[in-house]
Formats: sequence, C-alpha cells, structure tokens
Amino acid sequence: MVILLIAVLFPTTVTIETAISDYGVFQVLLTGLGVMISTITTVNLRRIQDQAVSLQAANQALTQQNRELDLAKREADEANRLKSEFLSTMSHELRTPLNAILGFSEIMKLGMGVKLEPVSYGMIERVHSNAEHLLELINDILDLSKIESGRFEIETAPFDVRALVKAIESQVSGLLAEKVEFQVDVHGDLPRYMMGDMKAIHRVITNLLSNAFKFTSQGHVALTLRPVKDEMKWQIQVQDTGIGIPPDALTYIFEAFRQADGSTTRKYQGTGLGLAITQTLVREMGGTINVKSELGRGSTFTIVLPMDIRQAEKEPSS
Amino acid sequence: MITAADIAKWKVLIVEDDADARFLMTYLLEFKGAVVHVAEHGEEALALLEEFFPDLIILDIAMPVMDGWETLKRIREINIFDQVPVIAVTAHAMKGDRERILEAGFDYYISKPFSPATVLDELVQALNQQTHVVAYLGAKR
Repeated sequence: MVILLIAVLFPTTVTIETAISDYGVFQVLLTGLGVMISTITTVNLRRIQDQAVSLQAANQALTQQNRELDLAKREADEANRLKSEFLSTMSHELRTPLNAILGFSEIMKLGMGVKLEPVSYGMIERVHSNAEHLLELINDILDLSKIESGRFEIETAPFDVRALVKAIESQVSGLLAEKVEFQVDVHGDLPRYMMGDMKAIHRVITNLLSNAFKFTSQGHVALTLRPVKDEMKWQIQVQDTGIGIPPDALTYIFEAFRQADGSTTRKYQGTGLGLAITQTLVREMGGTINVKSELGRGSTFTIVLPMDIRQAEKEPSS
Repeated sequence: MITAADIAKWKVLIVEDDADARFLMTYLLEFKGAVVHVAEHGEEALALLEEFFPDLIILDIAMPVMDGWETLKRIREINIFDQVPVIAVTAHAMKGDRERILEAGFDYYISKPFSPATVLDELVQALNQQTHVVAYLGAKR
C-alpha cells in the first residue's frame, strides 16, 4: 500500500527500490503525520470541550436569568396586587368619613328637620361643596392610578356614534351657560358604527367639554367628530372661545395637578387631574392628543384615534 | 307601585357598624316617617329579626363579627324572611362590586357616599322595577 502510494506520488524521480530502501524515512514522515493529525484532533476536541463547557455555563446563566426574571415577574405581580388592594382599602376608608360629612351637611343645607341661621347656612354650604370637591379628587386619583397601573382595561366593542353624541349632549346640558353656544358637528363621512371603548371615549370628550365650558364665559364651545382624510383614523375636536392657555403652560397642562395658572385652581374649581386622565386614556386607546391655544382667543384640543370598523357594522349596540 | 310617601309605613332595620353612617341613615328614614331599629353587625341583626319583623333591611357589607354577605345568607335561610327586601350599603365603589352584590341576592345597592336628597327616591324607583319586592311591600300594608 505504502509502496504503491510512493510509486504513484513519485513516478519518474524515484524508483520503487529507492522507495523501499527509504521506507524508514517515510515511516517517520507517516508517524509525524499521525502525530499531527492526532494533535489537531486533540486540539479540536479540547476546543469543542471548551466550547461545550462555556455553552453549559451560558445555559446555566440563562436558566439562572430565567429564574430571576420569573421571580421578578412574580414580585411585580405581587406588588401590583398589593397596590390594587391598597387602592381598594383606601377608597373604602376615605369614602366612609366623607359619607358622613357630605350627608349631614346636605341634610342641614336642605333644612331637613333642621333650621339654620343664614350665617350657619353659608358655612355649611362651604363644608358641603368642599367635601364634594374632595370626593371628586379621590375619584380622579383612583381612576388615574387605575389607568396607569393598567387595571383599567380598554374594551373594544361596537358602538353607535350617534348614541355617544346624544349621551354627551344630555350630560353637557348641565354645563351650558347663557352666553355660550354649544355646537356639535358629526361629519357625514364618519361611520356611524365603530369599534372602541365607548365609555373611555365618552369620558375624554366630557373631560374636554367641561374644561371648555369652565374657561369660556362667552362665544361658543364646539365639538367636531370627523374621519382623518386618507387614514384609518378619526378625530375628536373640542374648540372654545375661552381665556386660552399661555404658551409656556401648553407643555405641562397634561401633567397631574397642573393647571395653566397656579391661581386658576382656586378660581376655576377642578381637580387638576382631568387632562392627565384624558391623555392617559387616549394613549391607552392608541391615540394622540394635541392642543393649540391663543391667550384671550380660545383653545382647541384635538384627539386622533385609530378607526376600527371591523364587525362594527355587523353587530351594533347602543 | 311604591311611592316615597310609603316609607312612612315601613319598619326598617339598619345594620351598620359605623356610628355616623348609622345615625345618618336613621335620621333620613325617621325624617320620612319610618320606624327604625338598628344593629351594629349581622349577629345583632339576626337576633332582632323576629321581634322587630322589618319590612326592609339596610345592610352594610363590611362589618365586624358578621359581615353583610353572611348576614344576607342567614336571613334568606329563615323561611319568613326569604322575601324581605335587603338593600346593601357599601363604600366599595370598585368595578365589579355592583354585579357581585346583586348576584349575591341583594335587592338593591346604595354606594357611599350617597346624597340624602335623592337616595330614598332612587331606592323607591329601583324597588318598583322588581315585582316581587312591590308585591311584598304591598302585602305588608
């Protein structure tokens, strides 16, 4: 075999005899080759072994990481549950004393079996209106933290735009002022039935409208619903001719407890949470909210929401 | 049909652990002419039932000794009281509470804080939606 190989490799320069006599040299060469091969194999094996070890280490690290992630998730879930529980308890604990304050002050105000001097009446009226404000604050804080902690679930169901507008009109009727005209325009191209969270949409619109009416003493407040051209989106616009918002305030009016002017909190009653709740809800619905305003001229809030009409026409509900 | 004026003919049992809430509800109902008895928790209420024989029970949910859920269950187990209208009062205004309360078998649900000016009118209006309650209160007259 070896001789044959040599004969093939060196057919002209080396005779078979020489090859045979030099067999010892070839054997050395061959042995060397064997050593080389086995060295390469050993090195490779070691490399593979090293790789296996490092893979195993990586695997262990991943398993450890998974375990840690799992633990972190469980801890986060637990924290979330505790927060929910805390909110629920706090809500209960705050409502109980408020019930007494609101209840008795209302009984006195209404004169149900109680007669009051005019001065006492004025005082008890203040107790009552402040307690009402406190209740509003508590409700808004609870709502905001509920939405932020993701426990306020945005629902997707078919709703009727006309029913929505009707509900809003009847709710707003309590806000109407004599010198302020309320205009509602629902664009004809807007589908009557869409998918979305009607309650959340109702909430953001009434939040914006109640602000608009609060800051507008004459002129108009206009609500416009229309599709966004060439996009699967629709737009809710609330425009007023009120006092407007200073340019520097436009950046922070969506923050909780910030109103355009620190002093307006007192002049214009409100919790200062309405726009924060509105913005959070709009984001949760996958939309955007923008504001344009000119001092003394009025403000325009524009919400753009994704339009979803899948199934909406098949199974409309009110 | 029940009207707000009918409240004057009712005997009402108020079960409430919070003294202020108890006083508020008592004041309101007595102002409308009802005869009111009070209990501080479920056990006390059950002890009073047969002696007072209320036409309507107003039951707080969160109470020591025996809470509103258990009390309602016990009331319904007594033959002669399995139809008496029981109204839940709760300061828990979280989502899902309303469904849970009505599912448990309460006939109506008042959430705290309530407005003394409107709470009883709303109660009467809601009770009118339920024929068995109207029949029960009508038969009492």
